[in-house]
Amino acid sequence: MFDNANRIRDLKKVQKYYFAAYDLHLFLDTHPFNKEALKMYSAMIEKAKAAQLEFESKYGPLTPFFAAYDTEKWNWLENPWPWDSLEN
Amino acid sequence: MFQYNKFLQYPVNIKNPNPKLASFIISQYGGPEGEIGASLRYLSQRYSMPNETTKGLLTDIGTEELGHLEMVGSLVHQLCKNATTTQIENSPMAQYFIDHGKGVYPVSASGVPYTAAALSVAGDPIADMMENLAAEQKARAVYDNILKVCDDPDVRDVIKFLRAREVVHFQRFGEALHTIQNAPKQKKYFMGNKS
Repeated sequence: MFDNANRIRDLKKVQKYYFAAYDLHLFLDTHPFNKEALKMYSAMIEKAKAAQLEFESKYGPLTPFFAAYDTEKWNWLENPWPWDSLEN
Repeated sequence: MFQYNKFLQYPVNIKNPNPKLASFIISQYGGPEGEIGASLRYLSQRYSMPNETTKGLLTDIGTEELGHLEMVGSLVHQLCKNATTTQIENSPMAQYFIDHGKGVYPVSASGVPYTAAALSVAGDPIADMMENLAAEQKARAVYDNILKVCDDPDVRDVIKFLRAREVVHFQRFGEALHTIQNAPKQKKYFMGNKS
């Protein structure tokens, strides 16, 4: 199917940028005029989008609707789901 | 409304089954200071909040807590998935196993099913934000307790992440509280002790 170790590594890239963006998102909720945070937030969003596109091209969709869905076969259901361990 | 992202906020990949650890960690799934409670509290309080900051922050943190609930559920699931019946039988998970097998059911470490009686919505912005500050400290304390009894490095890594998020939420709620009080304008302030 695909290499588990590579999938874990590629997903960590998406998780890393999504998390950084979300943390900045919360910070901006209480610091709405902080220019540095606004700049960092845009940068993290761009990185997260790019990482997600790269991941989805190899392994399938991470979000519904605008996802990298397959027009031949409904691929949203494919394993693994987030709680599945890839260690064994 | 809610959209689902098909990945955990922080990875959970557990190598060693440990039903005893699962019986402790499950308290952050269905216990009084756990993630369902946090999420339900914040997503419920936001309706009666007076300003954009409090409405938005409660929505955003409430949403993040659902992601944490998923992580705790994943931990419990992975810790029990490959455990043998003997391992389970000889752990505090034994009685839980009778009613729930290796399923994930919202219950505290002492076996009490989740109850909303553990959370408060006063409909009063200051009372509610104070409740949230306490909630984040209580959750942080529970994660501290879990760390005291856990020596599996894969599990510790995830618990430390969740604990750190509680500290950040505490800081954000403190800032939000200032927007509904008449607080002096300071450039920076910290809700907790520096250590």
